[in-house]
Amino acid sequence: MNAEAAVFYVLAAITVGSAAVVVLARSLIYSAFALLFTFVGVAGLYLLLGADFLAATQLLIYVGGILVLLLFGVMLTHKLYDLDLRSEVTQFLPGVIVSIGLFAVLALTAWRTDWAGGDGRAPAATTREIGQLFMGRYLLPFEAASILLLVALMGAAMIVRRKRSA
Amino acid sequence: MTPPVVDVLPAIPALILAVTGLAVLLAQAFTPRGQAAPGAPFSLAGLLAALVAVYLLAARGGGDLGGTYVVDAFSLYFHALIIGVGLVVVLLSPSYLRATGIDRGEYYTLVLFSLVGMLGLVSCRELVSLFVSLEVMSVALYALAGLHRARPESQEAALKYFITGAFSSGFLLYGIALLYGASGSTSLVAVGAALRTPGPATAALATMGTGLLLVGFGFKVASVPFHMWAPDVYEGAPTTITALMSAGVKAAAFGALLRVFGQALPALAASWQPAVAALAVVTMVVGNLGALAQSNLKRMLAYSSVAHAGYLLAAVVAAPGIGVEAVLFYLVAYAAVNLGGFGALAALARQGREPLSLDDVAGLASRRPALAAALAVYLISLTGVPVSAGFVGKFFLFRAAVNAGWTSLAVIGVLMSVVSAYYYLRVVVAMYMREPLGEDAWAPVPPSAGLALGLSAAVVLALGVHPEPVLTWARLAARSLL
Amino acid sequence: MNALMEMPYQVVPFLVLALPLAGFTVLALFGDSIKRGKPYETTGAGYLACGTVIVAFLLAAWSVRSLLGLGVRAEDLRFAQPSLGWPPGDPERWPLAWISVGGLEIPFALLLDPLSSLLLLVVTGIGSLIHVYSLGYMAHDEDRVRYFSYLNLFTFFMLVLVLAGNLPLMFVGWEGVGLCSYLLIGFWFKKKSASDAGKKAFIVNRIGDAGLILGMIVAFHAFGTLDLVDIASNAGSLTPDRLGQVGAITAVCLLLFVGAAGKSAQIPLHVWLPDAMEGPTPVSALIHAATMVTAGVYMVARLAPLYHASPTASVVVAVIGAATALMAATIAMVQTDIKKVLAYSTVSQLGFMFLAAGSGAYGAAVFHLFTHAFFKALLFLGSGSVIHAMGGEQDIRKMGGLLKKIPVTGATFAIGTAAIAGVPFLSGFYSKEEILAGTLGAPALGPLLLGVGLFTAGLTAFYMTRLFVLTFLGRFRGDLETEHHLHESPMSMLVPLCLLAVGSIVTGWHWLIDVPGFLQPVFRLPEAHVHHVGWLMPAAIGVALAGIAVAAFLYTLYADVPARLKERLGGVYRVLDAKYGFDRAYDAFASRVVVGGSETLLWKGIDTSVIDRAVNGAGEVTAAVSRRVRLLQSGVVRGYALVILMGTVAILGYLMWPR
Repeated sequence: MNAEAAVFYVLAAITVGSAAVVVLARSLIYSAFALLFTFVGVAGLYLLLGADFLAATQLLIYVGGILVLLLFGVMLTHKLYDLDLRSEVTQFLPGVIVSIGLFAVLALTAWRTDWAGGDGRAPAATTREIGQLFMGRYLLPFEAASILLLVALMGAAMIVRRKRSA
Repeated sequence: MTPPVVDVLPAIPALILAVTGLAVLLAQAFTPRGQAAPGAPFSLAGLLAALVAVYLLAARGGGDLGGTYVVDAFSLYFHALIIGVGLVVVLLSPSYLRATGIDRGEYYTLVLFSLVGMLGLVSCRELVSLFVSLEVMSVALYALAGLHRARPESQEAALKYFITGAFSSGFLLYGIALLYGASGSTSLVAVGAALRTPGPATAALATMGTGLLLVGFGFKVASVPFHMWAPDVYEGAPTTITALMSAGVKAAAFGALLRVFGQALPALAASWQPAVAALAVVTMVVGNLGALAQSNLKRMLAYSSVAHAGYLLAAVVAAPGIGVEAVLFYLVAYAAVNLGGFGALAALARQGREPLSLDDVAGLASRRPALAAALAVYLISLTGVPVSAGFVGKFFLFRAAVNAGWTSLAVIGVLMSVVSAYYYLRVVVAMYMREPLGEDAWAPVPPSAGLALGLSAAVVLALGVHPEPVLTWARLAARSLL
Repeated sequence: MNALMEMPYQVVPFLVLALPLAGFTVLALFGDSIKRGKPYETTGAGYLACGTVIVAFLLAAWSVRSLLGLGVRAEDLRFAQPSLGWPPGDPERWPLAWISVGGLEIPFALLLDPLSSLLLLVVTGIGSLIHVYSLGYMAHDEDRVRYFSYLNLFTFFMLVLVLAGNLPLMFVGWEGVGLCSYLLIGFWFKKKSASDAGKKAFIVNRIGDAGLILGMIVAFHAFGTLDLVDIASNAGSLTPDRLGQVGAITAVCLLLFVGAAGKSAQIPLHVWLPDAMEGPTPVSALIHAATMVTAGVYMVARLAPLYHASPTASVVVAVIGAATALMAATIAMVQTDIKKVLAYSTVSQLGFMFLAAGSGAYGAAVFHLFTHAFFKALLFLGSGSVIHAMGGEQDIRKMGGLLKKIPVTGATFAIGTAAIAGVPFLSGFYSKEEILAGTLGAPALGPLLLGVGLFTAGLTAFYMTRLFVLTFLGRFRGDLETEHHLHESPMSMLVPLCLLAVGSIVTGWHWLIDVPGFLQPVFRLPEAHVHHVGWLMPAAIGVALAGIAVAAFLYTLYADVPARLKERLGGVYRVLDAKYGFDRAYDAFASRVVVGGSETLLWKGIDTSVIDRAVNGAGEVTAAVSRRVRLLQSGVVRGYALVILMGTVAILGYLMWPR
């Protein structure tokens, strides 16, 4: 096992382990903190793949922006802070069966695919290329994404305003 | 280095709608507190302008925006349909919003943005753009579904729709990623070309991606077993938005489904056709049986919408080929009928209430003869009785299935249509053959809604009597997909 | 042929169609204002409706007459789109295609040949009489404008059905008459039984329609055309299916027969027709006796070459027809409602027609359709006159001795009874004899079918005589007040009765109208192989007279015998009275299996437990934030997600399954 593989498995373990904590933790605050590690782990995986821009974005937006916002929200809302997230166990057996099924299908796909290996060299920096694509070929989805964000913002605003006037 | 030149002309209809949406939003910002900006006239003007743009584009022969967004006969057909749906919804809205106390400026902005998303969905020839369009449409609708702040059902609807929608979007995105992995491109044409040359190395990825896309689209078209949100959301959302969802979203999602499966995945048809056929069967059966058990009209129409997704899927099995034009034609027929059905309920809304049960519409024929007649026309078309668009449409759907060798689908479809007569008919019987119960609690039909409902009924009858122009156009559109 | 001579039969069919449609349009648009206007306006509405149909009849008669005069062959007379040209003789102008896309050409084509012209005359002729009769019968109903508008609409759709040149157009008429029938059955919708009956008729017919639609799709797939003439003329060149073999032809025939069975009330789809008697009596006469219910027979006859090529389908048609005839006749023996007896008799006679068609005697089937239209319309209108006189009473146990009180009705009813019973020299005798002779030509089971036919003919004579005796002979058994009010009906009702009585006598006379001979070219079959057996006619006369005699003796001289028989044969009687249990079985199936099943399985199982629990639970929570959190905990959305996941795994599992 070379160093790259070792790094991969460590990162994967961090990501999957912390994601499990996000789901299983009884307190929202633990979940939120565990999410930090998940995001960081994913950013690490991106870095490992040579996707430098993506890794930076992941850190800046998810860790620096979204997660911090989430933590502020949790800590400022005492109701949420104290909330016990334990819920009744329902549909345990079907859930297990479906999960096993899904895992089996995904594993089978991974198994059957003849994965193309890289040539061992570090890929070139991608930032410039991504920027050009966004301003050229992918202009449309790029612009459309701004509408998407606006719509999401309006939706969020409506939820908040509803609370006040309800 | 010269900046790349992009011809944005083909996206003009979508841009007009987006700009109109922003204008309505700004107008709301400059309107005194507590008042509503004149969103409906703005939106109507924008929609009409977009329709003109579509016409001009069609005269120009369509166009292509950097290979990601293409305006061919197929997307022009859907442009006209979706903008038409938007027009009817906007016509229905003002009176309904006033009657239910949700007259807010951002309503029209969100409606217009969701229409932009739908236009993108049927025009994108590239999977990432397609996904972004899908999300624009969906997020706007999540917000719209929860507009009824006084009704807990409405907020629930928004939340359920959002969570399950995000869940299914995840599958769709995963599918796109796998297809990219299998073909090295997100362009539908390139994916199609890559998959045509068989390579065992990535066959599993491609198949898996296909399956995941099917799940994602299955959710949007409300196919069983991804339909569970539909009854809740249709019931909880404001009725005009329900009309928009049942007519517009279904059309746009089927458009995208046909484009993706017809252009990128025909090479895998042998494996996805049986899966689509199975979905069609369970959707037709569960949708119709579910509708049988409903007492709430909106829920009944929601299950009926599920059932119709099944009929449409039966013809998708026959795509590419004759199935496409059948689906295209039926989508128009179906949009007119659903806009009318939900629109009729919305038009009667008064003081936050609207007719939801059979008792509520009992004897409607004697109090609102024109509205009852229109509603009867819609229901008859949904049943599939001749001289209505529904009959011609179903005939072509099932014929497509038979021609493609899926006779059993047609048989199940016809049998299920027979079952459906029971629940559609109950409403007609209640309107025409029962005495009204109690006082007349419903609003007089407002003129703009009357216009919208009359238009829908006229389309239903016109397509039933003389379907040829639309059929011809649908065939042209279907051809441009190949 | 010059243009002037062509004109009648090229233009007239469209005019004939347009007239009742125009009548309906006027009445539907101005119905409300007419109703609010002066009384004479309402009466005028009735006259308008009658007028359109009578003029249509005269036009039809004119065109049929010129058609006969021209001596054109049947296959020349197709009115496809070119003949819509105006002026006539310019076939290229105004082509009117109805649907034309994707290799499917469906013109708005009408077809006028001996078969459709015969039906055209029946529909407009008997339709006119019944319209006139309705003037008197419905004179006191406040909604008669609506009634006449429906009646006109029905006439229009029936004419579309009869004149249609292709299956989809025929289907339009088919559905249209169904709709009108449904509206007219439920005409008095304030009566729950009436609106239930309407609903039942509609739903049962939908099952038939499913067969028809599938039949059309398969037919188009197999033959590449839906044009009736093309199908019929190509059928000869197709390889016929052997007996017991189900090829494309047999599949089409059987599927279309499902549709025919629904419309023409054959086992097991016959259950709606007796209930349809809830409608006004003239409607029963027009729609549920003379015209609409015979549409199934008409369609089978229209596709005669196709059925001829499929012995399997023919045998099925014949056996279902014979079984229906027998079953309905036995039920009719124990009915006590005057209209129900006639309704079951109609079902039984329709069975006779299918028996003939299935045996290959298509001419006999349509011949019986023709004669039946007269005497059954007569009997229904007569029963309407009786009910009118009795002040709405329909129970024959409370009648008796009416012949003296309402002699014209009684006499014409007697003629109708004799005609349907098969008394020699009346129309029913000839057509039934034709059918019985035809049964021996069946591809299989001929002698059995003949036996059933003969026996049923005897039963027919029996129950009709019973009906006549109980109604018109003996002593009056009703109360004094009703007896006091007994009166003969107005002229507008009696004139149609008399005309129909004449028709019931003469329409069977070969030397006057040779119906089977007139129709023969339409069926494109080798010369009919009628097995005229010497003993058949005496046997037919024998069973008819025996049936009449037994009934006459039982119900006049030995009036206590029926009651004793009823006691002795209690079991048989109960089965007959329960109509063999069809209704109960259907109700059980519909309410338990379909509605109940979907309610428990889908409604209670998924909808209520998963969805409603959340909706109901939501109201109890106040704060929006905690509600959203609570909602997530309730498991609803997780349940949805689980189902989505299950579907995903199923699809992916299928796709990835090692193959």
